[in-house]
This record gives sequence, C-alpha cells and structure tokens, in this order.
Amino acid sequence: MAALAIIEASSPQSGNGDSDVARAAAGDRGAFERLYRQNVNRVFSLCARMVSDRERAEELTQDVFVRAWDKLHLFRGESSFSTWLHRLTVNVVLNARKSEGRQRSRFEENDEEAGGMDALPGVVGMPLPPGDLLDLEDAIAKLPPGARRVFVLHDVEGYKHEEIADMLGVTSGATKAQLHRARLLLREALNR
Amino acid sequence: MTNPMMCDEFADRLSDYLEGDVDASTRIAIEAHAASCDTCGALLADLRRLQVDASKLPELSPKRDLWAGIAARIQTPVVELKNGGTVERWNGGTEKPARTSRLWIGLAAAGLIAVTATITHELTKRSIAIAPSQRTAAVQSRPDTTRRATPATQVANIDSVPPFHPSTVPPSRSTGPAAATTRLASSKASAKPSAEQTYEAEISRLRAVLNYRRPQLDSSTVAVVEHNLRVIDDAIAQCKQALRKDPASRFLMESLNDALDTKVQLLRTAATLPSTS
Repeated sequence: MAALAIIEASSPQSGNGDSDVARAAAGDRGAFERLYRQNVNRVFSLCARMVSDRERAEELTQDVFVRAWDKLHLFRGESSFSTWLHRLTVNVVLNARKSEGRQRSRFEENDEEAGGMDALPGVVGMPLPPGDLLDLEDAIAKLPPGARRVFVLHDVEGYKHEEIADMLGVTSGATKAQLHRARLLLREALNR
Repeated sequence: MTNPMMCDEFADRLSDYLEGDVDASTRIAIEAHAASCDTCGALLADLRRLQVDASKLPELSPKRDLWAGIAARIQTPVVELKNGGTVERWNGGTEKPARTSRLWIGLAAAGLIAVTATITHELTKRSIAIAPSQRTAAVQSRPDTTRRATPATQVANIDSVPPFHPSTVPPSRSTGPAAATTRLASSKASAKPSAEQTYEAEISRLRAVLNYRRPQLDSSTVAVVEHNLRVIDDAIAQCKQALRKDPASRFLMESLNDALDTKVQLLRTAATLPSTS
C-alpha cells in the first residue's frame, strides 16, 4: 500500500478535506467540488491507466464522483476519504468493464490469449529508450487488459495480491502470474 | 557462461522472489545466480527498476474540466424552476443560483428526470395489463410490494396503486426546459391509463428532452443512444407481436415490461448526459 500512503501523506489540504467531507455528506455541493478539485487527478490517473483510453477515463472519472456523491453518507471515516475514494474508483472501473458487453469481453480474451504486445503490431510505435517514465506510461497503456489492470493495481497503486484477487474475482496466484507477465512484457517493450 | 538448469529455475522462482514469497535459502540462491549470470542479472535489475519506476509515475490530468458534467448529474434530486430560468436549490444552499442557459437546460432535464423517476417507482408496482382471462387467477397471488413485481403480483396491485394520469400533461409541454415544471400528480382523471400508456408517455417526455438537448451532446454518443433505442424498439415490437399470439405468457409480459423499462432508463440517462464543452 505504498502508493496509498503517499497519496494520503501528500494531500495538501487534509485538514480542510475532513470538514469538506462532512459538509459534502450533508449536501454542500461547494464542499464536494473542493473534494473533487483535490482528488480529480488521482482518480483520473487510476482510471486512465486501468482502461488505457483518456476519453473513457474522463467519463469514468465523472462516474466515480457522481457515485461518491451518492454514497458519501455511507463513508464512516474508518479510512481516509482518499483511500475510500480510491477503492470506489477501482470498483467503478471494474464494474464498467463487466458491463461493457460480451463482444468486448471476447475481444479481451482473444487479446489475452494472443500473447500481449507482440500480438498488436504497430501499437508500440517508435523505439523506446529504457527507463523513461513517459515511455513506461506508454508501454503500460499497450499491455493486454488483464495484465495491465493487475500491474496498475499492484505496482502503480500499491494494492496487495489478495486485495486485487478479491477485486477481480480471481485467485492471488492468477494475479501473480499476470503481474509477472506484465513486467516481462514491459521490459521487452522498454528495451526495444 | 550460464547454467541452463539454474537459469530455468531462476526464471521459475523470479516472480515469487520479487514478491518476497521465497525462503531465505532460495533468496540466497537466486541472488547468487543473478550475480554470476549476466542475462539473469540484467533481467532482475530491469524488473526491480520497473517496480521503482512504476511507483513513481506522476499523476495524470484530464484534458478538460470534468466538474460541470458532474455538477449537472448531482443536481438531480429536487430542483424548482422559477419563471425566467432562475434556479433555486431545494436546501436553500449557500450557493448562488445558476444562471447560465446551458446549466439551466441541464437542470431542467434533471428535474424532469426526477419526476420520471417517481413515475417509474409507480410503474414498478404496475404492469402491462394482463389478459382478462388471467386476472382472476393472478389476483390470488400474494402481492409483494417490496421488490419488482412479477406479472401476477403486478395485476394484484393494480387497483391498490394510486392512479397516475399522464394525459393531464400534454407531451408538447415537455419540449424544452419548461418541461421540468410539469405537475404530474395534481390532476384528476376519469380513466386510468394502462401501464404501457404510462410508459409511452414517459418515453415521449424523455424523448422531447433528449431532442431538445441534442445540439449540446456529443454526436457520436447520441448516435450510440439512437442505435440502442432502435434495438430496444425491435425488442418491444417483437414482444408485442408475440403477445398477440400468446397473451397469457408471463415471460412475454415480463420481457415487454423489461424492454419498456430499459428504454425509459436509457432515455433518462441520455437526457442527463453532460454537455460537450
């Protein structure tokens, strides 16, 4: 959970954020807008990396905050608002994936079975110098969806395998296998 | 230079090693092999660096401000529209009334959606009318008002639900923002419309809102909505056609209810889509 700890520690307005959470829960849209401003980039980052589509990520980001507004009365303060919102974001993204239809699922299965980046000629594009974060961002976007989700949740966001397995409805062994596959694919892409 | 056997084992255990899932002796063996094998050593170094780099990725930002779309969607609960387009919030909140036409239109749509949500609540207690020959048997079923009713229980509930009279609000009034000011429950009616008629009335209203907002919506999104509506309309037509041949079919009635409900839900969602900037 290293990433989450960083998120909470780096929250510049955590004091005001707490009162804004209470105000927003009571229906104050101004307070909720402040919470949005504080958290939108982090929510969007997670959405964008999980779905690898900026426009879709923007839609999902809006969905997350609408859902947060609806569910805010359920927030008990047992974790920080950031952590709660982060988990809500994961749920929204994963639920959206589930509901996006059989045709897309079939596409993703084919994508997964085809072996990753090598099965997508031309998507990697120009040769990538190793180590550059922009290149890493680009390479993550081109991972097969299953491997990408696990990599983002584990290596970028800091979730544990057991948590990811629970979110995705698979075993932790499966998430470990996906993670290792993702890392090897990324290494290959970044060393081309 | 490299020991194939040891490299294979290294590859097999590398994932567990990186996750910290190996015992001390295995860890030592892996690290010793990585130190002695250039290929495996480079692999381990790359994967470690990848882990570090992934944890340092910076936050991304959306290309546009998403708040307007969120604000429009969370305005839905109760919105009273006054003459002249001034918006007053239900809770008398601290915010100033919104005055921009785009937001006003969005709120008008949202208000109508809130009204139609109430109507849908009523509709969940009702159903497409069952064939008269089935009514007696159906009424004997135990009604369940806590969840979506089956056709049998729906029929049993019909007479116990306060009637809703969409005919008192002409569809033409629902075109444009003023639609949100419609008063749906204030009328007296001499005859109860069927649930299907009520659905159709709601669909008509939501259609009007969607048509009104069309210029502010993304054209490709609207195209997807229209395509999905055609699919639903096909399903509705097929259900009706099949019901003519088998009017007692519970499955067909449920299917028709579901299709009409889906259409209302889709139109409601489409009518409150955020405007393109």
